[in-house]
Formats: sequence, structure tokens, C-alpha cells
Amino acid sequence: MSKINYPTLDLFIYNRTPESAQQKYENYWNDLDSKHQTEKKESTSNYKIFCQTEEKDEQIDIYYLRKSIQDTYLLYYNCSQDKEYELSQLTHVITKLKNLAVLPQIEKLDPGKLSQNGYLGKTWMISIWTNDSNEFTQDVAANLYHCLINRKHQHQQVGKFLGAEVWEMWCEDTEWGGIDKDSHVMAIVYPDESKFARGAKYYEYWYDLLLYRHKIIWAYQNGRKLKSQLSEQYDKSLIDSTGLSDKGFAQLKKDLQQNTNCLTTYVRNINLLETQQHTIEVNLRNYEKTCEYEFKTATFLEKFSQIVKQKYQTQLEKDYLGLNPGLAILENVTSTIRGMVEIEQAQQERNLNNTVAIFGVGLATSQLTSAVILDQKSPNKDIPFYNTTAFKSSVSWGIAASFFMWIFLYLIRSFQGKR
Amino acid sequence: MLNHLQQVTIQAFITALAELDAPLPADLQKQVNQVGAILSTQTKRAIDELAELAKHAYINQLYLQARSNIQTEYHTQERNLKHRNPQKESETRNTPPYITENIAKAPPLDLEKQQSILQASDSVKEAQKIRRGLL
Repeated sequence: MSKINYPTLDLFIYNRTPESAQQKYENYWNDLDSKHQTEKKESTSNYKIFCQTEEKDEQIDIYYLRKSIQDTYLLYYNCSQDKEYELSQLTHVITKLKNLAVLPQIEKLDPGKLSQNGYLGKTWMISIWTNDSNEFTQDVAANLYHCLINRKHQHQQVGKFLGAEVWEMWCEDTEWGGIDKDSHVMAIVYPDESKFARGAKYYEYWYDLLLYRHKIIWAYQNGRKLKSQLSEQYDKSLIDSTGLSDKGFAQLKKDLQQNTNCLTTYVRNINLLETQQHTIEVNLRNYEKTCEYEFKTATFLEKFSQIVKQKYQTQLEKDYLGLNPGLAILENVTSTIRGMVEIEQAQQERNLNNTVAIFGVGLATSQLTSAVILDQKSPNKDIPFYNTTAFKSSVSWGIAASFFMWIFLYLIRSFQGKR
Repeated sequence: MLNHLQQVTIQAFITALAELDAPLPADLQKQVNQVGAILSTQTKRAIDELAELAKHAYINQLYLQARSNIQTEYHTQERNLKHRNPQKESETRNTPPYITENIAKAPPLDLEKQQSILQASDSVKEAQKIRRGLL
């Protein structure tokens, strides 16, 4: 059985941190010293190094780094041991290194997640050097994957980087069909220490490259979620304008309210879907450029670009093209309903105006009649008011005037209608 | 057994002594001897007293210099982290010219899902389902 040297485990976690979680994240970082039972070696505002001493004074180095890259926070965990092991012990060693990680836990989210919808994903990376990489077989890689992710990997590819053999493994996201953002593992088997040392100089580029990768996967999943939400909203909306004329004013107002709400959300989501497409486009470009400039020989990294182009970009483009016409339909139907509601409202207002006019004319005529009659002849005080001529005449003239006013308005409306 | 900081203190003190051009003043020497006498039996007290003695103007500057040197040396020797440079890695790198910056936008959480959590008979279970992506 071959020997392996300097087992190293890296974890790259990417989050877009909302304001609400920033203080909690800061607290986590500040409390990291007290949370580690091991001795602290170095500490700055952006990295911390601890050292755990095992039997025979063998030590494990634990290194945390936090870093802002563009709009994203990287939390990086590295745990390594400068020791030689049998290859058969590797899974056990990696499990040990994994268990030493102290990760932030915000509210009830999984460790490492700083928010529900701003968490981009994580990648585990294992690095070793061995003089006999032939013994690092498919089974060894699969076992390592299982000890980190707790399930079997579904996809893998093997490539070369700086003379090292690289095993890249991941799983599908069962819900959205893309790559599961928590499933990415890379195992890099260097042939000797000098190559291992060279590989260590590439961490700065891995920080960036993995960010682009996770942002693409995250944006794709957002796009798929938005597609699902848009379809639901479309189905819930009123998209058929036939039969609207049979509906009453109250029902039309209710439909208008519902469609206006749907339209607002639909517009927002269709724009966000487009934003996800742009995010994928920009980050794919960055991913490819970083590969081109910094990882020239690591051709296996191109596989991800192919997946993005063939699947992610095409899928979101089709989703957008399929859902965008829905926006025009929704806008049309909503405008139709709004128009009908406005017509109904105008009709109701006119009816009210007519009623006021009819009653106004009736009342004025009635008052005028009673005033004239009373002026001509005062009624006998023994006669009740409802039996007086003035009362009877004013009521009769008031009704007659209202009736004529109604006829007059009716004729005007008919005349206007014919025009 | 001395811990790391105690080792640094005593080593820095001895280094400072070694660099002095002249013997210690008598009173200071006497106190150093007293510390020496209890070092093996009352280590903590001895080191604390040594740290106090190091504040003496006669030796203080050399002591501080020695301590600083030891700590720098200690940091670079004691941790392994082979081939890594945390200081450099933690620095903000200039964005390479071939990189296009991108501000990503997350869709807001689905209001209906939030409502379904609040309205569910078992909200915890519902929330966990959503967190696991089952809904």
C-alpha cells in the first residue's frame, strides 16, 4: 500500500451576506478563538490559525480565512497535517480534519449558510502527495466523497493539473436539475512535494474560480425557481377576456385587483429571470477567462463551461422566451378589465348625477310652488298641513317637475347615444 | 511544563541578559536569583516576576526586542501550513483586467411559501421542508 503525505482539506463557502446577518457573522468570526479548544497561533482581522497537538506532539494546522470577492463573502477553512499516512488511512484522516471545522450557524440555517437565499454554495478540496498515484483509485475517491458529503457521487471526471491527478465529483440537485451546490468535491493527488508546493500558490485563483462556478449554479437555480413561480402566477391570473361583459362591477373590481397583483409580481420575476441569465453570462465569461489565464493546463475544468452552455444558458433562455409572451397577455387582459371597471364606474357616477339633478329640480319646484301659494293665500290654521292646498300642490308640482326632468335627461341620453 | 507564552518570556529575558554589556545592578541580580530559585517549583509566579523584572529600565529595551524577534520566529516556524502565505492570501487582490464584475440579485423569498409556513398546522415541519427544498 502506498504512502500519502500532508493530507490537506479545504472548504470554500460562498455567501452573499444580507445586512441582517452581517453582525452575526462578525460575532462568529470574533468568537472563533473561544470556540476553538486548540491553541491559537496567529490572528488578524481576516485570518486565524490554530494548532491542535495530537499524540507524540504531532500537530494539525487549522486555518480560517475570510475574504470579500466582488459582492460575495468567502469563508475558507483549511486543515492539514504534515505527516505521512498509509493510503488506507486517508478516509479516516480526512474525516478527522473535517470534524475540526467550526462553521458559522446563523439562526436555524445549516452551518456555513448565512442566509436563506444568498447562500451560493460550497466546495471541498482534498490535496495530498504520494509517490504512487496509481493506487489512488476510483474506490478511494468514492469513499472520500462519501465521508465528506454523506452520499454517493453521481458524476465524476478525472483530469490533470500541474502534474497532479484531479478527481472532480458532484451530484445533481433533485429539485432543479442542475448541479447540487453543496455536492462539489475535488481530490488532487500530487506526485511529489514540489508539485504540491506549486499547487499551493494557486489558492488565490481557486477562490475566484470557485466563486464564478457557484454563482452560475446559484443563478441557474434561481432561474428555475423563478420559472416555476412565473408559471404558477400565470396559471392563477385571469388570461381570458371572454365573458368579462357578463360580470358585475364588484366581480370586475376583484378580478382587476387580482390581475394587477399578479402583473406586478410577474414583471418583477420576469426581470429577475433575465438578471439570472446575465449573471450566468458574466460569470461564465469570468470562469473561462480565469481558466484561460490561470489554469491553462487544467482542461478538465472546461467540462463545467460545456454544461453551462449546453444546459443552463439554453434552458433559461427557453424559459424566458416561453414566459415573456405571458407578460403581454397579462397586460392586455388587465387593461381590458381596467377599462371595463372604469366604464362601469363612469356609468354609476352619471346615474348618481342624474338622480341628484332630478331630486334637485323636484325639490326646487316644490319649494317655489309652496312659496307662491302661501304668498297668495295663507291656509286656515285649523286644517292639518298635509290637507292644505300649498302642501298638496308643492308635492304634485315637485313630482311633476322631477318626472319632466327625468324625461328630459332620458331624451338627452338617447340623443347622445344615437350620435 | 512551560506553556508557549511562558517560554517566550523566559527565552526573551535570557536573550536580553546575554546581550547586556555589563552585569546587572546588584538589586536586580538578587531578584533574578530569587526567581531562579522558585522557577521549578512555582513556575507561574516565577515567570510573572520575571516579566515584572523585565520592566526594569536596565534591561527593558533589550527584552522587548528579543521578545519581538522570538515571536516573529515562532510564528513562522511553529505552524506548518507548508507553502501557504495567509497574509498574502487575505489581501484584497486587484481585479484582473479580464474579469467583469457582477452584482447578482437574489429573488425574494416566495411570499406564498412564507404564508404556508405560518398557516401550516405544523409550521416547524413546513419550514424545514422548504429549507430542504421539498416544496
